[in-house]
Amino acid sequence: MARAKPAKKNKKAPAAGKRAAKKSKPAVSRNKRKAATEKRMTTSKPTSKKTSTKKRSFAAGKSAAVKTLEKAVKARKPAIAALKKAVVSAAKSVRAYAKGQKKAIKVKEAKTIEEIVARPVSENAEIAAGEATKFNIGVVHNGAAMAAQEIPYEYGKDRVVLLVVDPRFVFTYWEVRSDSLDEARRRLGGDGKLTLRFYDITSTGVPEQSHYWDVEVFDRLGNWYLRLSHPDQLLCLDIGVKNHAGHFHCIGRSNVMRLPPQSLAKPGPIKWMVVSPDGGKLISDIEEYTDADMALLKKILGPYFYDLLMRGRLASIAGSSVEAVFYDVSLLRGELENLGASPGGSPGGSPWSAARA
Amino acid sequence: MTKGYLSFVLHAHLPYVRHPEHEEFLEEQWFFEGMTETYIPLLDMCDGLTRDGIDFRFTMSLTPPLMSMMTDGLLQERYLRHLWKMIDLCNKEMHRTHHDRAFRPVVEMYHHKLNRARWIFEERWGRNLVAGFRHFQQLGKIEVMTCGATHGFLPLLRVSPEAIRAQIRVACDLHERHMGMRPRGIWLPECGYFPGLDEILWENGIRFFIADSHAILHADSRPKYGVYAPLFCPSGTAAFGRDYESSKQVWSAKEGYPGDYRYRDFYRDVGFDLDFDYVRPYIHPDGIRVMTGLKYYRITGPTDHKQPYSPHEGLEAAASHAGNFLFNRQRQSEFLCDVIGKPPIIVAPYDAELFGHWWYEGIDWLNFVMRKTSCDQNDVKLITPWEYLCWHPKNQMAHPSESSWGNKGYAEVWCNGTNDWIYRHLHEAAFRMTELARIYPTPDDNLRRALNQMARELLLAQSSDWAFIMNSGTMVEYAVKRTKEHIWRFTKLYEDIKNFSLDMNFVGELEWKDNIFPDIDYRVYA
Repeated sequence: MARAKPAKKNKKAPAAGKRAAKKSKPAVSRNKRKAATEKRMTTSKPTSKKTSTKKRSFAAGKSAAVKTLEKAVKARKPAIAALKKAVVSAAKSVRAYAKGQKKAIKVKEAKTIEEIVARPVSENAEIAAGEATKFNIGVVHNGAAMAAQEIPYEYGKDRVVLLVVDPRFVFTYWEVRSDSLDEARRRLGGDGKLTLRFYDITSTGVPEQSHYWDVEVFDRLGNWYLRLSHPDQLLCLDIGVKNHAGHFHCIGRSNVMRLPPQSLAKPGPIKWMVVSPDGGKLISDIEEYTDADMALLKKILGPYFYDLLMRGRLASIAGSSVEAVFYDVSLLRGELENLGASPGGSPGGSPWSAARA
Repeated sequence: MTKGYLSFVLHAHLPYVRHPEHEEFLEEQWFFEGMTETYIPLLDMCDGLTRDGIDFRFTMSLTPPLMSMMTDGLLQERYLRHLWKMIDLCNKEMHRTHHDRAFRPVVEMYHHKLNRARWIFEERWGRNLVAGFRHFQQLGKIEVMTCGATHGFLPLLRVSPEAIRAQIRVACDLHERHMGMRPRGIWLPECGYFPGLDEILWENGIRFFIADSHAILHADSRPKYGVYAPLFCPSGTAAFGRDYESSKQVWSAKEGYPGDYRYRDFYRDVGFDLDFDYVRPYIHPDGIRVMTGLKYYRITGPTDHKQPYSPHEGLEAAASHAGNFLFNRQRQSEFLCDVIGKPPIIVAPYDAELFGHWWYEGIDWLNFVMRKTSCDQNDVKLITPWEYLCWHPKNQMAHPSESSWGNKGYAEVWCNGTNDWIYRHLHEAAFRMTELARIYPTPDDNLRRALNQMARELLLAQSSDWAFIMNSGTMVEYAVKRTKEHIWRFTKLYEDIKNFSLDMNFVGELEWKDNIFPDIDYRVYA
């Protein structure tokens, strides 16, 4: 089947995709970067430095060979031997260059399944265009016909709100009134700094008895993105003032949020429920989750989706960007085949095609 | 024997764009294009299938903003004007391409389709397409679901439970007003689900919703049948999970059907290709070139040298892809039925506007799939989620996990550096709305009008489309201005009420401009 998108799309989509990916990554302000937190966002950088160094050296080798050839021609020596030498050298260099390119490419490519599944989706994904195209009428800038309205800068309240962005990423914004801040500082002796205190209340349910960590912030009104070490935890935070002695005066407490899980739930009993069309409900029976159930789920999903699910990668590459899922699956399949494993799936990793074969 | 069920779910939605203060408004074209290319052809397809005795089924959401636009007199009038303009352009094009053998067939196709669209809109359904969808629901052929009142992304609004309740309740009320019955299903905006939301749905009589695959696979109890059977939330509301395989074949820009070279190209449009003076009457009055919907080329391949579109070849491709799709669903059903020991339900949800608007032949493809499924085989049966629940009332119970169908599966599309500034204001407005709703349970007429208008402004500001567009990077200005405008209007009304200085001229003006939800009762926020 033909696979290309319209030419215009081909030209524009990658750039747009990159741009979207770049923009979609929540921004962390300069001030925020300053403050070190124990659960700081970590990003892996591509290993492109090695690649570019290799590329440069091979390119240099190639140009050296060409220079030798030019020298021989210029010197008009009884040239055959020199030319032969130069040609051989050039050929060697080109071979080396090609080899180097191959190596260089290999450096770029992920070598293990772990690397494949750990690769950020933005590198792989070409976002499905469907949803956005309904707003595409061929115009980039619009809204000129509407007047710009001003909205409140602040609301005069002490408030901090926590929102879930994904299983390991939360967003918080806050507002603290000047007089609340002054009052808090006065109580702490005047040298307190505005601080966010995050609580992991998963096990205790009570912030005061939970593990916490602090993030120093600078503005009365602000927001913050926080990368967390693991999903499925219960979080909340306080905004307050902390002094040099470590004393903390709370100004406001946020809502509580549970981060979603990122993988299959732990085995547990399966409950069955009957809901009749008129709305009657009945929990009919409960059965134990067995190995056979696990084997069934594996069969239903097929080896690749099952693998992604078990590695907690299914959700983070899912959503309407189906492209990303299948790109990962195809890479995974290729790797398994290279490793000599039996993939047993169709393009896209569907188990039912394997069954048919 | 039935080996599997196939449930098509189409999500039809556009944000509420209606500007009576302007004679023509650029963004109203979103609605016009959706009407001509998706909604009218869908109804035409249903008519054809019914006429031919095809036993078809699909489920679709008609979101409250879209329903409100479809039933709004001003927009109906403007759409008809737009349609006549396009027919006029088509007539000129018929004359221009009279001797052009390459382009004549495609121009004739548009000429025929536009005239038919006009007839369907004006005469078949009396300018009200919602009546058409209601008709087919009454015939039992389609299941129309509702959505959030203004498509607010609920996981990011949940700090105010009243705001969530209002999004659901107002949507159900509007649905009942136009469809004659409470909705049984809902398309959660952006498939955004969080545990606990199901209880609000159940309170409003909603029995099922559609979720992305990982909502099911990451549920708090391991799903025995994966996404191929629904889960009952503890409240009793059922969650149906998306099937990746069928999604991929239609959604994927690379491997999906819409990328076939024979299909019509979306980007080449006569609004940009033809001489400016020639198309001037058919583009924006300010001289801004826009898409007209007349696109004469096929995808052709990864080249700028596009070939003329052949409607005949496009239709053939759609028929062959429909056969391929059904073949794959048959094999998938056979396999799954064999493995799990009962017919699976394969839920295939798509944006409705994907069909017809983005993938021009998409509705023909859907038409072929319905016909082939009904006539050519017995393995796969078309079904709606509600029918499935009636036939299979026993299902596993679990809480699906928080999720969305946005890129990366959660909330990042609607909460990142481009759009996170809106939440401070949206939340505060929701808190203020609840505050006033509790202070004034029995207001006088003027105050009631003002409070109802505040509720409308809040709902309109909450539309997830604005955050989505800010994130997408194109046409951002409109989304930013719309968000700010609704917040500004809301805030002014709030302050006027607090200061006992209500300006009824201002209220009246807003009622005229933002007239969505005429029956709204602000006490839903109390």
